[in-house]
Amino acid sequence: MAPMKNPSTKVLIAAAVAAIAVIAIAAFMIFRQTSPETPPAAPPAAPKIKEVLIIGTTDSVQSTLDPCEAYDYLGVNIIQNMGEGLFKYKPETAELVNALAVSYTISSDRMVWEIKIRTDAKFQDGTPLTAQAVVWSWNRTITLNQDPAFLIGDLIEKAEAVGDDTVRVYLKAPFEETYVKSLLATWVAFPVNPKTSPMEVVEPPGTLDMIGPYKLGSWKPGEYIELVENPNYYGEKPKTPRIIIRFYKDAQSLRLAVENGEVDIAFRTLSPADIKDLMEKSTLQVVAGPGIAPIRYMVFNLNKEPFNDKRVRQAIAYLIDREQIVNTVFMGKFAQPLYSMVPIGFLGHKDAFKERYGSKPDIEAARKLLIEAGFSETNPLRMELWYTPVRYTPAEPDIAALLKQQLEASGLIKVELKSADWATYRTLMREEKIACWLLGWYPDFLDSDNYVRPFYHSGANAWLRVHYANPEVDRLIDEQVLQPTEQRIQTLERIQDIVADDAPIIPLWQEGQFAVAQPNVKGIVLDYSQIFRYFLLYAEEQG
Amino acid sequence: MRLPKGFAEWGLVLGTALVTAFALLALVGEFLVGRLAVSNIIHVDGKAYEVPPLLPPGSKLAIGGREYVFIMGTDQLGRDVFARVVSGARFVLTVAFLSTAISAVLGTVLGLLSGYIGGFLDRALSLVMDSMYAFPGLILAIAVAALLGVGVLNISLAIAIVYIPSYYRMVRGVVLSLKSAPFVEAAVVAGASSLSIVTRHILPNVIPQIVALLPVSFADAIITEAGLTFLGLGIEPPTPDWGFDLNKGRQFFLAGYWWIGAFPGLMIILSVLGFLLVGESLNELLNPRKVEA
Amino acid sequence: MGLKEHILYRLALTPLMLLVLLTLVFVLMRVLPGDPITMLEGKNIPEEVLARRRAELGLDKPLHVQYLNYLYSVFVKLDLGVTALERIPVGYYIAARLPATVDLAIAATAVALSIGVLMGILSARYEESWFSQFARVYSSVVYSIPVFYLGLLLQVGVARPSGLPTTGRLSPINMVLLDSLPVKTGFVLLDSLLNWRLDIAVDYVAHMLLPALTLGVYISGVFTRVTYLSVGEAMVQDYTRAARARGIREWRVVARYGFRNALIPLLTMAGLQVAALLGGAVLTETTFNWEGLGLLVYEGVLKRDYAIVQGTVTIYALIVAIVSLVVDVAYSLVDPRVRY
Repeated sequence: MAPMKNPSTKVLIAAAVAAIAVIAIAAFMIFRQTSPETPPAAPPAAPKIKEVLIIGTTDSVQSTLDPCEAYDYLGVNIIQNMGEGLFKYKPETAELVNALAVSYTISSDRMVWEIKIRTDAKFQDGTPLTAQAVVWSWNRTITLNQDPAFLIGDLIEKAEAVGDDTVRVYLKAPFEETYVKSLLATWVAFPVNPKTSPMEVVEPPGTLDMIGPYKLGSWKPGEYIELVENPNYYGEKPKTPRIIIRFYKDAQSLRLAVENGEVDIAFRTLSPADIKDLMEKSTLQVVAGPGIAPIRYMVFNLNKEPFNDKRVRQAIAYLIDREQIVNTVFMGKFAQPLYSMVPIGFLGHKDAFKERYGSKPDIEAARKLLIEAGFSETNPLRMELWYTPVRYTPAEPDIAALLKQQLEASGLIKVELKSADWATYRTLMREEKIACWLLGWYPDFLDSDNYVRPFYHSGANAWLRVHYANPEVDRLIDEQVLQPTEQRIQTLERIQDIVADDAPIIPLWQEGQFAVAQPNVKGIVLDYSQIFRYFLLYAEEQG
Repeated sequence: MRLPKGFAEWGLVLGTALVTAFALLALVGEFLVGRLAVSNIIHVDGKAYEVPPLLPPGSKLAIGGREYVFIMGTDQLGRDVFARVVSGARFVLTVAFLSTAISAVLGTVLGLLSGYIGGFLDRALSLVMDSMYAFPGLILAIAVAALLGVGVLNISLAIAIVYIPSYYRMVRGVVLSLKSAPFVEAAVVAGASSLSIVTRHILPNVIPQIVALLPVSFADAIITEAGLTFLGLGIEPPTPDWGFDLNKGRQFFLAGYWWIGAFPGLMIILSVLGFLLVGESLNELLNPRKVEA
Repeated sequence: MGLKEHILYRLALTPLMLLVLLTLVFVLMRVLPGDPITMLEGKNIPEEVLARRRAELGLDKPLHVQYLNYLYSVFVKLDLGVTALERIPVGYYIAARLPATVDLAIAATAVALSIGVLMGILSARYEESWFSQFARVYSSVVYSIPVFYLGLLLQVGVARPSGLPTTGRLSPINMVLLDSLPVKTGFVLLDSLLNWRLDIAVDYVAHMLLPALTLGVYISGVFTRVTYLSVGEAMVQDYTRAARARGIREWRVVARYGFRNALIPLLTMAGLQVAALLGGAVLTETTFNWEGLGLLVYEGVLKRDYAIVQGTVTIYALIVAIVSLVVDVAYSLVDPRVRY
């Protein structure tokens, strides 16, 4: 019999293994040598600035980059780098300065503002900025009436152009000065080019022509966004001509990426344990900044027993140990206890809950209230505490476990922890199927009003399903936004005192902002504005 | 009694030992370690002490005059990892057991019916089962888990649904091939009722296959449960659970706190291994291959 | 029936299977609490904006109308719809993610086959040796390691020290670069070679090493088992003994008779595994930031984006149907005894 002609399997397999090995080695060698950047120039006299910086993040753009519709953190932040409004925040401060506005006057009844705008600003296609463009943009936002439109819609009654360089704004009410400026500084109010902007929402991968240091280079939804410098920007050129923002699915893969140099900066959100580890053991730099996006709190539905009883809520406020949470979960460094829904650094902030309940748990006081409310060891308060595991921090289950422990330390409460994914969670909240849950708040605009009205004003807190209605608080909130600053601070403090005593919502903590970057990256500014300004970033080429 | 000989026999012994050990752990483990697994507060003489978090394995701590040794360290909330490992068996193994049982029973029943009765029922059921099989398993489990919420029964159901088609297909295949076998035909001719044919002739031939599939199914269920907790759907804290702790451990692994996840992970590997060994060895012993003379 | 009839039968059955699957998905997704609009970021969006957006997505219509509309658009217009919040065509996402999943599935299966076949044959050949025992333990152990842990271990143990990339398909610069090049098939390897960018191709292979290894090692146990059993079974058959008696060398015997016997089970396994992997190795994709179908569907479920989930499952089912068909055909080619 002639021997069979089948190639020996052994040979085939060996060949396959060898081929894979060869490819692997080759890849490794070539990869190591291939610099991910453009080929380095001949040894320069002064260090060259890198042409591209890569930022890694676990956030992603949830909907569009149209300023009239975008509402998620990353989308808004990118728009903040591609556009500008009449006012903007000065980096490293909480101060609002002129951006596209040059000067403004306020009428004596505080209902009309006349704002002079820059004459040297141009859109990306060279069209000059005019007052008409500003008015047109605001009209577009209000007409399209998307999610954040109310920010402008509730502020402005009417706007008109007076000549080419002045915008006259008629407010709906005589709002306080910084309040108006902070709203006009939001992305929703950014002027867009009337010549090229359609009267409908611009979908990915597109955006609008705005006035800012960067413009959109390319966008692959779910994977990356590339920004390139805008040559027609009137102001200072961005320090780095190209920025790539790469999306990561979880904190672990982001950490690995910044460790092995795949990204230059990791911003939002690495786990506290990883940041601490990198701070202590690696050459990467960790930059910290005050954080308010989000602030975290516990909320009750006051229509549900037993949380309709103020004493129960106050007892819980006495039992909560914020410091334990901050020290354990956030390793003492990465978050701060929060004693008021108005965060530290904002107008009128006071540590109302600390003054009322102390910063350490007071079990005796809590027990007294609970017993008064009718609970005992044999008849404990049985409650469910709800949380959502992924949206805010991966440590959420741990935080819930700690809170349960803290509440049960009273001996009179039995806590059952429950969780649901974000979509279910929100639905349960809206359908009022839960009575006590953890939540977070990202500010719409940076003014104390945004930390008070949506929670405590009975005309504005329906979305929260807290059912808190205190006429005095309503009145005070309506007043503070119209008062001059000094008086406003006092009113805000009064509000915080009342709501600390009523405790329909218990503020818990605010996390700091943290950026982890390669050692040669400079210009990372993390301030109260919560805006990560890509145009300040730069890094020197290494070697 | 003689010593086990050869791979199959050793495998069976080892596998059974592992499975029994874990079954015991699942049943009584929790009682042995008490509160240490769910809280970092130790009460000695009426005073409460807090155990610090992230202690490495082998740490010793003097609390209220007694010395406590944390042989597997403490987790990120200060809870004893050893205690969590011991009591963590219950949830995982219960879920694995329940889901395997549910999918095996349902799949087998449906497969028997479908294969034996045939006709439209068979075609319709096959279609549905093929579609479910084509559905990415983990996604199906995720969706069902998101729907039902957490808890032993719900998670077991979610996982069971994914594996029903496997049992269905296998059983149906056996039934189909047996339906035309001579001894079955003989029984039909002799006037035996369908029920007795199925139970006396077909079922016995199906059972070895089911038994062979059970351990793999069990192993899959454990892994799927770990996967579900990885994605945030699992149990409520502070209930200890290997899958949950494995996932937690992953978040701390890179920072150097390897023990939080490594020990639960080891438990998962060993328990899965135990079942696989039992399954494989049984298979080899019950269906011996011809050996060279 | 013969092969041709079998193929036609299966092809005819596919739309039916798709219908059942889509119904299943539809029911499952609608039963989950929340809808795409629940996922809007704004916390206090006015009710009328919410209602309007729901209407834009057709969510205000009665369920059976939505169901029929969807079936109509898929089967008649062949249109998978757009994502709820971004309004991006589902087809765009699938076209972007499918190649990544396919690449990973193929690479992982190749790795698994290489390891599995090699170990299986060796342990069958040297039945009583320690290697054989080791191989059989190996096949069980690798299956018991949760795959995302294996990935993590490889990332830490292999990538960190060696400098190999740990996440993603390409370095971010190369990602942007590749998308700007003229020739586009969606498959990174093809695109980079067709555009004469060997460096990008190499970068891709480097990035693929770890995920492929992770998944490949994970499922290699199955292939090891199957090979070992089939080859072992063949080795004790009469025809094998006859071949040995005729003087054919042992290795030839193993290769010719042993391996041949393993081909069908291996094919079945490979087909099943590839199909399973195409379902998206969600866990691996998350660990390695490998943007494939698995992640797409998973995020779609969490975001309640009905269009994405329905669309992806549709494509996935089609792929599974095709792969099963291919396996069936390969069966009959390899083994003439097989009759449908």
